[in-house]
Amino acid sequence: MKKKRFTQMAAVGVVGSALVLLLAGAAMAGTKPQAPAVPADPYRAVKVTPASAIAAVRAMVERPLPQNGAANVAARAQVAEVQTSDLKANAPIDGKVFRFYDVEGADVSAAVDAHDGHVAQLLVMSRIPKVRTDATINDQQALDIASSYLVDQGIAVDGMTAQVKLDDRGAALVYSVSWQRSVNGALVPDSRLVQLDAGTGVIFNVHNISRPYSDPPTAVVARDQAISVAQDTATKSVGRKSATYKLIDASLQVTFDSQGTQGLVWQVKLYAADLANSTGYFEVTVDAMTGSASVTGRG
Amino acid sequence: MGERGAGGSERLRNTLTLPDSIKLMIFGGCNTATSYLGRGNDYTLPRVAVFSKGVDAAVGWTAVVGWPEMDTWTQAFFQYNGTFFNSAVYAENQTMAMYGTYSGTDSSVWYGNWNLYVRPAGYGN
Repeated sequence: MKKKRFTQMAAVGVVGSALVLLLAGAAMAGTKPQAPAVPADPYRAVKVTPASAIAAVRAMVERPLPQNGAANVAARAQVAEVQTSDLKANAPIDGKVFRFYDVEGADVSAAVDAHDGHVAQLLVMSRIPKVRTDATINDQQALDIASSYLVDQGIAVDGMTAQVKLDDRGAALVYSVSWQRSVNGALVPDSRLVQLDAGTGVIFNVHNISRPYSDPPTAVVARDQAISVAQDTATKSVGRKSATYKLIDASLQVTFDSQGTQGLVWQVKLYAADLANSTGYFEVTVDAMTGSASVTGRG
Repeated sequence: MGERGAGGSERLRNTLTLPDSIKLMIFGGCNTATSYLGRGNDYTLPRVAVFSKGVDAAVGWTAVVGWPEMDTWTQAFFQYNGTFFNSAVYAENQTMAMYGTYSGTDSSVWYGNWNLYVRPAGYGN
């Protein structure tokens, strides 16, 4: 189900506010209505050229992989040089968090923040495992390799707690080492991810997602309240009077709207076990200050 | 597809006949690579498709995946000119860049020949 369907109420609210501003402006100006200034998200202003975006990716790729840890040294020695001569930067794209250049080449896919120029994602295709091998490194070694890589790249993780996860992707065993910053109990847009082949220790994917934010206030709506509101919202969205839910996750998060206005929401993920069909998954966004809610995802 | 989608592996295993010329089956939904009723991985949809039905490659997911993120994943997967698994990782990154979350799309599990190419379809077989 498309997100568009569930954002209609919010759109009506914005239009209503704009209308009020328009009328107030007309009264103050006397004769000629003044269109309200629409403050676009200042962080989405493009300040980086395509050439600079490409240069940032090249600089990151050209730094050598870390040589510490007990990774498979022979496998790492065979890692081919990454080809960057064919990189192109596509027109900036608006993501939920920031605007970014999609920098693509045969061997590289990267996202570069179009405002401050930092490489937010770097995926090296030739380093993605092609053959499944048993894990030769453990959690601590994966953490050491990932941490060392970020230090080499000058990417800070201070004040963040690392999580190490080994995933069986069928095609490969993959370590995902991630860091997420929390402030006042809320997840803020400041996270890192390093993915590596558990068989060789070779890093193939790096994320450095961040944008400026203000420290979030204490949530007015408690977690339990948010879950209750989310359940009611999900139930009403499918025209039901009641449903039984299994809570998958509820996390407090800092968000930004298209104008760059910072918000604080509970992102609640629910599964309705007793819906008649098999579309029982809901993602509900609950404003942590006002309690207003909308279904923002389905499954 | 909800969590009950995992039960489809039983039906796929016992009833459905598939042409063995299929290069790729994508079971795009929640927990489609999760074992059914504790029967182990032999009963996951993509595994049955590959090892019992002769499909070249198949993929399912071991977590709840959300929309619209899965739409972005699918679009990016078919847009990228790489092997199935490379294209999957590419599509995961695109989803994260667009939405700031994977929303479960990074939980795909691949069976069969994941080094075939998305474009031209099935190249490398």
